[in-house]
Amino acid sequence: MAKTLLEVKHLKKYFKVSAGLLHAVDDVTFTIEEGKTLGVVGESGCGKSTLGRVVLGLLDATDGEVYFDGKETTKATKEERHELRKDMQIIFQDPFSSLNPRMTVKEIIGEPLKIYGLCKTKEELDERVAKIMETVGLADRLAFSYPHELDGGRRQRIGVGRALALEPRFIVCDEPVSALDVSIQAQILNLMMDLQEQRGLTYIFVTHDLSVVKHISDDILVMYLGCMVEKCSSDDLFDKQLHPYTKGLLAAIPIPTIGAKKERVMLTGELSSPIEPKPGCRFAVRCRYAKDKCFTENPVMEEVLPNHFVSCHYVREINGLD
Amino acid sequence: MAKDKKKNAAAQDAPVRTKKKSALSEFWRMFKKRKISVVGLVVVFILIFCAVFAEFVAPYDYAEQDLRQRFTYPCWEHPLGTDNFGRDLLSRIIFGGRVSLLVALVSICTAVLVGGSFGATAGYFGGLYESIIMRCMDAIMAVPALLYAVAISASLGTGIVSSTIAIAFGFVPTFTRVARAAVLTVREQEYIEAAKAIGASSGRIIVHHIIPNAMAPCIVQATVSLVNSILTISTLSFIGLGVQPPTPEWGSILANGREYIREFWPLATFPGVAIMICLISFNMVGDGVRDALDPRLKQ
Repeated sequence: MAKTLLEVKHLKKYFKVSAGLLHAVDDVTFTIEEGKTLGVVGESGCGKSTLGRVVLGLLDATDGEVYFDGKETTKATKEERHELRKDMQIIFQDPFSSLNPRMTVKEIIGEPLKIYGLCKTKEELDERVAKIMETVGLADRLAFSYPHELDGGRRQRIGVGRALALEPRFIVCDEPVSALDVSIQAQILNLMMDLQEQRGLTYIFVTHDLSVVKHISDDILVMYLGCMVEKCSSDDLFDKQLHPYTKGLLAAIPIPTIGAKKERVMLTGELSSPIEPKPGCRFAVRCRYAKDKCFTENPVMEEVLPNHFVSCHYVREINGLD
Repeated sequence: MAKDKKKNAAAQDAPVRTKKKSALSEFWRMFKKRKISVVGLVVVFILIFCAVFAEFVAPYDYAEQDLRQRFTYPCWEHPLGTDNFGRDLLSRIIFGGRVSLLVALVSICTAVLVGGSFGATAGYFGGLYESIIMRCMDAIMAVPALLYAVAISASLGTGIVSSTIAIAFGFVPTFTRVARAAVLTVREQEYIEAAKAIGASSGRIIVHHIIPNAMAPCIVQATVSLVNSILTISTLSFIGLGVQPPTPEWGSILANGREYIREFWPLATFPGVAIMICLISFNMVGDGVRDALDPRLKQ
């Protein structure tokens, strides 16, 4: 078994808003092994991006622990955090707003190297930036272009290059392909998978796109309103998902075959508010199997099948398991 | 990967640059594309040149009186006519530009620097610091700028220096507000978060990421305020707290001309035209600077 690189325990992130406490991430626990990819899926506003940012320390955790390579990081000092950033990086969703419009490609990719003083001479910096650009598939001649002169795919390559500059071991990918069109999506995904293979990178891949997550992830974590709903291997999730929410989510994937029949598990109702949520299962109001217990008692994650965790009181009854 | 590279090589839409040009030459290359701004710049240079070398440019001395030639209309001897003491109006306007331009430029630069740094830090750090700064600025704005000018002139004595301080002080809140508003929009951009993620310090983020992107509204505001500051120094001179006679200043010449506006129009008109030319050309230069600093407009 490979070494565990990242361990997240009971991580919580609440935001104070005028209406009360917004539970963006509520009691999330998982581990990732080195060189693996954890896909985090869920609909908009379920706290998946917040989770990525809290893990990186871009947002302070309200409660819980994050262990990176065995070290607790949520209470890291400024200096420790600065060091950690070398190992933990992020790729952003929107390649249009995540690049400073007044910096050239070379300046953007070279900036982390400058900040950490990794290159002593200007020539060394030029060389390393050129190397990174080659790695992410950007032509040399674009070094002095500005982001607005490039298309979405190449901009996202800059974003990937910036994240790679410090040679991190772990990258949070915050919906890195959802702003791109499908053909470019594939290019970027392949680039990221190649990089993972070459450098043994570990990813948290946040997305709402289920076909993307199937393609890239080893394990998948499904979130609903800040809570974990189901966590299992990628294959298990698509073949034998157990939680009613996951079933509904997967039923929404269109099948590209004319006349294909499948059971539609329709989700009804709307996302309830994450502000001061009521006790009980967050999904209960939309769940067709919901019983009284679901509205009063919080479900906990349990290992229903080997390495398959579900947070539902009646998961066994619903799926006809013992 | 190989396929990707091929695709990149095939795409030729992005301009090829072999190196980043020096900031100044790149700036000038962009600036000169807007012809109207270049015209503005030339006029500004002429105005500054006349102000600096007034002794050599002006045909007469600004204080030289010739009482036999009071209220002369424009003629060959006096291109813009003479005033109520028979002083050559063109010479007075040329000398007057000295005070007006100097006070306006120095006071606005000071206000941009002071107000801009207050506004940028307030917008970036937020919280209590922002509240304190912004409430102080509100308090400053609540009192008419002229009153500060009176107070500062009363405590420091009348003259160019205290007028400059007074005007700069009055403009600080404007720039604080403009800079803060600009920073607030830039701060929410993802590239600021990206900069944090690669370990950039607050200072670096402000200098490299926020200021270049939040500068445009401040530049526009500065050119507009330049105009206002010329008018303010005129007002101060008019109520006797600015430049003391016989030193000419556009505003004071204008104020003086106001008394004779029914009988003798040139005295009130030409200093007004001078102010107007100055303002328009500064505005044109300001627009050009703003556009030249924005790489998104580069071709």
